[in-house]
Parts: sequence; structure tokens; C-alpha cells
Amino acid sequence: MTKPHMSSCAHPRRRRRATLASLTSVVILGLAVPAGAQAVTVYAASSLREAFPAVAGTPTYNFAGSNQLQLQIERGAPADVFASASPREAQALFNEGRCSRPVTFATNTLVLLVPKSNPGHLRSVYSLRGGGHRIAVGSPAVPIGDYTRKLLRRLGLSSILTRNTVSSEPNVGAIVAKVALGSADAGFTYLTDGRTAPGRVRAIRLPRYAQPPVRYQMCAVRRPGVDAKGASSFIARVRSSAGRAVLARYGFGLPPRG
Amino acid sequence: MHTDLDTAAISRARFLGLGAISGVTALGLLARPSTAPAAVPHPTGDDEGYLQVGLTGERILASFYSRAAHAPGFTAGERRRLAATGSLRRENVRRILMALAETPASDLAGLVVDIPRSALHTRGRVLRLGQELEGTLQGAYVRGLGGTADPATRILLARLLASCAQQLQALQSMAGMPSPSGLPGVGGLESAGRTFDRYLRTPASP
Repeated sequence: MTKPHMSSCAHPRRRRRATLASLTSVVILGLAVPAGAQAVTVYAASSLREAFPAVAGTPTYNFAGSNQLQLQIERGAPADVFASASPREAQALFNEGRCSRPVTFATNTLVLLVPKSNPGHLRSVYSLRGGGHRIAVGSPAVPIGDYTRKLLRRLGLSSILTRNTVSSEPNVGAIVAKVALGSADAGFTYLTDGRTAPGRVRAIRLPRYAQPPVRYQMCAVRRPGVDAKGASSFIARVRSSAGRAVLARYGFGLPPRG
Repeated sequence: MHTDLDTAAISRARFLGLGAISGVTALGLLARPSTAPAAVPHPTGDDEGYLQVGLTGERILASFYSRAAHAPGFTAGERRRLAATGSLRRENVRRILMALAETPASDLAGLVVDIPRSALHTRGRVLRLGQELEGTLQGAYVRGLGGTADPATRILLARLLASCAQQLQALQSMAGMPSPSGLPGVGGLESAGRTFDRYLRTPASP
């Protein structure tokens, strides 16, 4: 008899404690994670792989070549934010009514990446004129490939793409990997990518006058069930002073505040 | 001693120098196949490289002449000439931009020309820098005459070379130097790029 009595007295207390505990954890979680941030899904260019998680750790990220991500979003992928390494992809989605007006949030410059040991003995981009080297270049459809071809035309060096053994890569991460592993004597990447494999690669500067303007653009995706609030919150965070400081720390250039 | 080119007598050496430039220009013009239309440049392949380095050099020189016109140590006539040359270089920039308009890489990437003040403090420094820039650009244009595939682009480069050579001789004349006789030297795009890069800067992020 005692047991039931005791338990009948203890149950409401336990229940109250349990309720209080769950309410507390909900409040704590609610404070720790801004509304919608947990659900937001960001599709971003490979070159943002290091910087974006440092700007905001909570979103689910999908990093790949900007053109691939554009295609996935066009086919209905569950992205909330799209960040591309050139205006072309974001503007295309905007023109199709699939995302908000894109905003430029970062800039970059191109470098020639070589393995630390520099087996090709390359001192400048002009060293590639002689031919006989293995170079990793982005495919023409991906921003890094398009920028590289623009740069080479401006340098009058398009011929190096025929004089050397060229591998066409789907994104900038693949170029860095090839150079870092020594599968290529050199690769054209962004300045920021040289920092992702320190100790294994070295960046050779390319003439400033020939640099194409590399602009990163971002937009909120428009689709049924999109986390619009989370998307605009993420975009605001990237464009905030704190977000810009992180991007600058990772070597990106910053556009004027707009 | 600071002779204004407008009133200077033409020496034998300078006459020969101008003749050599005209010869190279004419060769560039004659190298065009007779069947090709000459009107609008359509730079193909690496032709764009010569125009791009030309565009960069002309932009830097336009800025240089505009500022040199206010530098100390020049006569009123020389200042007028320097300012007029600045306008001429801006016109050259426009001509090259028009030639590049049909190619995708004509954007200037937001770079700004940044010539240190110290390089324009005295007449001597202004003239030295001007000769360095003009000489570098002239060499790149000469290289372009032999390397371009598009005939109309080659004609444009020949005209730009003639303009460049004339300004280089004017600066040499102001510096009291004898004009070089013979053909202008061929320069590389690599060395031209290195020289011009020193005077370009990406605007600081706010």
C-alpha cells in the first residue's frame, strides 16, 4: 500500500521535473540555434569549402562546381541558398525565376599552383610555353575553367593548353588535389585554394593586368518548401561585418558594401 | 634647354629614327593579306594578348601624361603637349576597347592605375618613367605585329606603334637625348606585363 501511495505522490513531481527539463532544453536549443538555421541548405562553389563553414557552422552544405550545382537546382534539388564562383550561374537561375536577385559577396584572383617540390621547375606561367608539362585546368563549363581560359587569352598564352598534357577537372577542388598529390606539374586555381593544402603546394602569382574579374554571387533559391527565412538570414550573415572578416581571413577579396 | 617638340628642329638621327618606325609600321600594314577585310579587328586566339597588354599600357600612359602635365620643371608648351598626349592615349584606350568588345575578356577587372607620387616629383623622373613606359609598350607592339593572326588587329597595332614611337621620341627630345636610329627593339609580353603590373593596384576593400 505504501508503494502505490509513494508513487502517486512522486509521479507528479517527476513529471514536473521532466517537463521542466525538456522545456529548458528546448529553450537552450532555441537560443543556441537561430530559427531556421538548422534547416537551411547551402549549395556553394567548391572554393568556398573552407570559408563558409567558418562563417556559419549550422547550415547543411553541398560544395561542388557552380555549374553542377546550378543544374541540380534547376532539377529541383532542395537548396535554400546558392553561392556561385561567377555571376553566370546565379544570374541564369535568377533569369529563370529560380532565385532572388544575386548579390556579389566576394572576389578572388587566379594563381598557378605547383607541388611544393615543383618537379616541373616552373618559375612563372611563361615556363609552360615550352610544353611537356602535365597541367590541371577546370573544364570550360566550370567558372575556374572559364576564368583560366580568359586569363590565358589575355596573356597570349592559349597555346599552352595544346602544348602540354592537360586534364580537364570538374571543380577547383579536383585541381588542388591533383597538384597536391603530384599528378599534375601545375594547375590554375584561385588564390584562396593555395591555402587549403599548405605544405604540399605553392602558389605562383599571375600577372595582375591579365586577371579576369572573379566575382562570387549568392542568391536565395525559390522553390516550394524553401526555408526563405533561413536563406535570407544566412545571406545577411555572409554579408555582415563578421562574415566579411572571415572571408578576408581566408584570402577572399571583398566588394564595396552595397 | 628644354626644347618643346613643336618648335624643335629635327636632327638627322631623329629623322632616321622616325623613318625606321614608319618602316616597321608600313611592314606591319603590308603584311596583311590582300584578300582580308581591314575594317574591324576580330582578334583571334592569342591576338587578344597583344591588345590586352596594349590596353594596360595605354591606360597607364593616359594617367601618366595627365599627371605629368602638372609636374614641376616643364614649360607651358611642354605641359600642353603632355596634356594633349594624355587625351591621345585615352583615345587609344577607346580604340583597343572597341577592338576587344567582341571578345569575352575585355573587362578591366576593376584595377586602378597607381603611379607613385615620387616618380613624378621632378622633370627628370617624369621623363625617365615616360620613356620606360613608352619603350616597353613600343616593344610589345612590335612583337604583336609579328604575332597577330587577324589582319585588322595587326593594322590597329601598327597604328598604335606609330603613335607610341612618336611620343617616345618627343620625351627623348624633351630630355635632350639623341633620338635612336634604327629599328625599335622587340619586347616580350612577359616583361611588359611585369613592368605594367608595378603600376596597377586592386582598390582596397572598404
